[in-house]
Amino acid sequence: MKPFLDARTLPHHTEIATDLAIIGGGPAGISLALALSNTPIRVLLLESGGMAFDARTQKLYRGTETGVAYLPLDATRLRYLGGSTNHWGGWCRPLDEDDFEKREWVAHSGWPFPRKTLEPYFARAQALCEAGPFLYDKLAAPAATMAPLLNLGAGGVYTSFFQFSQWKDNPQHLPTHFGERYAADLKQLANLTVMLHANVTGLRLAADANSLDHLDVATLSGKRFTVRARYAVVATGAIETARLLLASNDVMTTGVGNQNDRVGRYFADHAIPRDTATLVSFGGNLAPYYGNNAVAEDTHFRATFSPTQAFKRQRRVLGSLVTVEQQTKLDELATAAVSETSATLGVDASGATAYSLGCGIELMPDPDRRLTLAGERDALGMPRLELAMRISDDDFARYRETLRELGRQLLAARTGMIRLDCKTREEWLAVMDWGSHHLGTARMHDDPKQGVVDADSKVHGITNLFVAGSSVFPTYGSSNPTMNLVALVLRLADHMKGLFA
Amino acid sequence: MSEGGKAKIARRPFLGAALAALGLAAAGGAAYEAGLLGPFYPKTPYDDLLDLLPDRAAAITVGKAVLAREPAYLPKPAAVALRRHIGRNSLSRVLAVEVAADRLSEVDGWLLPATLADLSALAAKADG
Repeated sequence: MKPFLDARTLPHHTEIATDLAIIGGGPAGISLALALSNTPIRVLLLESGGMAFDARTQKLYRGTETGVAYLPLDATRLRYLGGSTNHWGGWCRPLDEDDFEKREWVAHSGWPFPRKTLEPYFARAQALCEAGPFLYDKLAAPAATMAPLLNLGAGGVYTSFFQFSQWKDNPQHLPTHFGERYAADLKQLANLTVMLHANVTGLRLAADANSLDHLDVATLSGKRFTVRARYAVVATGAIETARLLLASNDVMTTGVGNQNDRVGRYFADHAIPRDTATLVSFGGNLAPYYGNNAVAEDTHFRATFSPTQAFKRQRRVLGSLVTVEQQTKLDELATAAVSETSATLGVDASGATAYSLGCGIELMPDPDRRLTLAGERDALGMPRLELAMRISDDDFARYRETLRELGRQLLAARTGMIRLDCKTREEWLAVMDWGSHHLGTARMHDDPKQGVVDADSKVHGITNLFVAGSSVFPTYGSSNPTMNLVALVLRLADHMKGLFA
Repeated sequence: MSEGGKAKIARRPFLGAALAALGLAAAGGAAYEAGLLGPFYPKTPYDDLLDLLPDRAAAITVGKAVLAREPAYLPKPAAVALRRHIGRNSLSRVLAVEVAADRLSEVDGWLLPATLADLSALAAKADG
């Protein structure tokens, strides 16, 4: 076992040489390091934090915000080994095929490759996330043997299934915290050095601006040193990746990879407003796997409602998921609406049960929802970020269209009905929350004018710099990003092996 | 005889009266359910339509919410349109077709087949 190094113990101005520097020890960085095991590539993983939360390190994340209320930038992610998997919910589901497609009604849509390019990596990504066998919508049959699915009939919304990360042998049944879970595995890798408390503060390009020359690294204890790597991968999350690229502006004055003013733009998250609708099940309580996790086929899962790909195309809506939350009571009007509707449909609703519905909403890519450098600097001298957060009325309207279809199907199937709780922008914003799924700020596109990295995640115009993580997602889908970004990282690992072959 | 026994005897008349009262209430409830004791709705020019509603009290409650957003609602033309729309079909058939065609109304956010919302408005208007 090779212990992790502590950057604070290095002599000043040390210069370290390596084949590959991975910047960031979150799920992307750790997955990449693990995938490059048993290769001759000398890998150095630089992690800003240590093995546990540290307030001083976390403060490096602070930034300011304008626009729609959003979560504080230092509260939505964690800066120590394992990154934000140290507080994730473990929700896993692969992106849909159409998430990768160019859709005429989705501005800036289209990944440089189809879903099938990522499919070979999903099973391994699933294994790293410890989410059980790769089943997802195949869970409908085993779930139905536990308790009946809510009959939605035919239509544009179907019952979809999420699986959950379950940290192996964790007594608290937490989702896998990549740092703690894989620390021992990382220490076993002969080709890997993990350095903690090492903050990369600059991506220093060669004078011709075509390649990365070295990395500036600093510790909060005041040490400064240099890493020279043949290749480097920025795997610091969509917010910090933008900051590092933008702040590295000594050679390219607009920032690394930002020759076309794309870095930091298209920031996205999943909007998760609460209590967006009320669902009444005429037949009484829904199966427990709607409101809570259940176990079948050696996996933890939960049923949700999602728009079909055909519905998304037909109605020009984006991805979303509808979750069943807590039971709720009906007021006089609601009771009357349920009584009248069920009686007219000829259904006994005497045992009807009502539930509040939650959601996850995919946002339309928006170049003006963006991160820029602010004037203030952090303890390491790096400029802090300012986030201009936006969500459009159309984002709400598209999701409402899907909710409405769910309500229509319930009536058609005579199994229930729904109330749409939000109509005006003010009503949506009053219940707004966010998923802390940071996406899109170093988007992937074949055209350098439309993206920061190419299909291989290489920064356009820089021969030896890559970006890993959900910052490269050009569109976002409604699935949680972690398992998908790990799959993307595993694909990048194969590309890296080719570079060093 | 034990004290417990006395207590039972003492309770017997009360229990009998209570049971008798419950029986009356149940009978009354059954009569109410059967429509024998009301609620009573005066005759209206729209009873051919309103009789289609299996739960008129609930319809009135829903209808008031519809009327709240349609202050200029006029029952006569609404009834003419409803009669034309329903024709000789059963209400359940009409609603099924509407739902399939996504012809729904939002009543305070509740998604209802449009004709059900229209009938509810008529019921509320007729109720005064």
